Amino acid sequence: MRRVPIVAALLMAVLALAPTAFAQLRTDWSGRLEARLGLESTGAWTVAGAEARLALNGEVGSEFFPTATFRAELRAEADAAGRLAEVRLDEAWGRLFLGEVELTLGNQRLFWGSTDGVNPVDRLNPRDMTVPPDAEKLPVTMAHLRAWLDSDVNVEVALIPVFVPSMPAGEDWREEPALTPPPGVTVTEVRPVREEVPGPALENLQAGLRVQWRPVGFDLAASYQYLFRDVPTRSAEVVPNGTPGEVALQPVARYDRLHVVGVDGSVTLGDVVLRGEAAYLFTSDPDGTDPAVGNPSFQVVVGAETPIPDGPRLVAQAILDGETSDAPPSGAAGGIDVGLRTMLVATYAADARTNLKGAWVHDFDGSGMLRPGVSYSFADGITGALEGSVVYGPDGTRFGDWRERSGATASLRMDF
Amino acid sequence: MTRRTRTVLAPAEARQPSSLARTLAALLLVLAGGLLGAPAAAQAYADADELMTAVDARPQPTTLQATMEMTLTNASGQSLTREMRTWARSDEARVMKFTAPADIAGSGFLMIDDGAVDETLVYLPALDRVRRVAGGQRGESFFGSDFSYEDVEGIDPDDYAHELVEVWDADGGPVYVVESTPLPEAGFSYDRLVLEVPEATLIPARVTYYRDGEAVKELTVSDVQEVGGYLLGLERRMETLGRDSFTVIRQRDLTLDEDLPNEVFSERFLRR
Repeated sequence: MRRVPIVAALLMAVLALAPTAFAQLRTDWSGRLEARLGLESTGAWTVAGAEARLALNGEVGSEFFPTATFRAELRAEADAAGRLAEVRLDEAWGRLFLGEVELTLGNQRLFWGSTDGVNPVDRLNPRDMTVPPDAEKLPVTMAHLRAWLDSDVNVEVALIPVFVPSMPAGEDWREEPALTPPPGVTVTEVRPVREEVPGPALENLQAGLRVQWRPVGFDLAASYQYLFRDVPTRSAEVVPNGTPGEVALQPVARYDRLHVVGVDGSVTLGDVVLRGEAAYLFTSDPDGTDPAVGNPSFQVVVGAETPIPDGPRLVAQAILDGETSDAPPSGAAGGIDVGLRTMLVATYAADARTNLKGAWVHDFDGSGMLRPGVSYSFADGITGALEGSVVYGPDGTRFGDWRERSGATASLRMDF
Repeated sequence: MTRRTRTVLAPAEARQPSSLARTLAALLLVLAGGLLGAPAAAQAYADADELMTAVDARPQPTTLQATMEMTLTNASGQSLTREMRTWARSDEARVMKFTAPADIAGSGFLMIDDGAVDETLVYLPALDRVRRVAGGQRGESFFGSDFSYEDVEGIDPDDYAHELVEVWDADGGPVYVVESTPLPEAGFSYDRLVLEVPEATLIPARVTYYRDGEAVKELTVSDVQEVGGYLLGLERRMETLGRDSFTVIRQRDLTLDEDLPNEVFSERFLRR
């Protein structure tokens, strides 16, 4: 019972402070209800479920630049096809406006880069890759600071104290790497995968720095990120089992360190906006000799966006991927494996309610994917969508192994 | 608007009629006026440039803050409603942010055109990115409405060559019909605009937009009221001709001439 006076005193203090501290507090609730049904050409349901989102947004302070803003969102999802039912805290952050500096703390998504769909420099958040090629960004606990040096230049610093890996592809989509035993031995056992996830320690801090210059007509940004690879490098350790000539294989999934240096930018040239983005990933295995560590790689994206008068808006992009090859046993230097993809996206607002979208990704290995879609607004905040995917290509190519996964997804959602 | 007496001005290249023709034209005008029972009112502006200079010089608030409600109606009569908050400083800078419905709330755009700077930036919260809109994209639909981005930016008389093609008298006084052709360097998507400008308000009451020689849209400005000492058209209706869809934008909760800091017209404010 002694707690009562304490609680009463706290309540009195809050009530006393409330008029000043929260005099300009404004909040609003928003949310989404969505049902989705997806079927692929094999006859399997890819998704059969529903999702509910409820978000609280608020700000404290003046109208133009408040003292602080905040957001918290709960998501509840059930998917019979994926045998998933969960309630989770999605974004939950608070932002302080300190003059020309904005400090955001909490579970958040950060978006870096300039190009469409494929962003080599955008690596701070893990992703949900359960159903490829979709890779929705997941929020991660982060401290993010953005300082406006002047109206044209801003600097961002992000610190991620605890590493969270991306959600791997679902079992149906997963490609387990072949584990090659050393010559002359017999593998008697393949043990369960040992996943080495960097723990919550100061040495496992992840960080990013980005400087953006946005004068009139173009923008240019340079970034550096000190990260862990969000999808693991898989290798296998040979474990002698005591019998000569017989070993056990211990698969290991390791999230190795990366240094990512990137640039991105865009420029307006008449009716065309040119966008570009490039990143180089440095690893601790520059020569490709250590199978437990990923090799250095790079990705370059260049694209153009232009509207067709009275027609769709077109985005065309070329995506070049490169990775240092594993060093051959002879000790000779490895080469670089490169791949080239093109992407064409057309979006068209047929009227105020109907939006059409089509995307075509084609890899120069002969595989690709077509994704047509249409959405329709039945009423304010109520939207239905239908999206298909057609995958083509021979086995062993980027998309070819998924060609049986062509399908369609229908959804209906209400935003409030 | 009641049309009583009409004065038709010939195209520029035909404006050197013979004295006989001038006499006949004057006679016809007098007869027409007599037959319709109302003499042509005195016109304050002799040509289009003089008129459009007056339109441009019309007293305007230095800053404006308002809530705008946008109703999009299709040919079947079904409507969607969107609400946004806008901050504007003269014609040089404007920020618009959607507040409803929920699926587009937070989206917005920033337009700056103060002579030294000319660009339009769009912010989409789902991508959390500020994107520059290319010149040609100004002709695209403004968030699915019958307005395009360039329609929303308004009409700057300096971007056009003007020709007065017609004047008629209405209850409120003369109404001027002006044909405005965009200057090539302005980069607009329309071939020409035909504006109907009442002398009493100097607010274009109707604007017809032409593309490839055909009228494609028609803007009607109504609910002209005096607010804070300024004459403002609080309702704009844009109809897409041939598709029978239209969008109405109404302004309310106006605050005029209140200082707006420079930071309001920045990427930072757009994405906050």
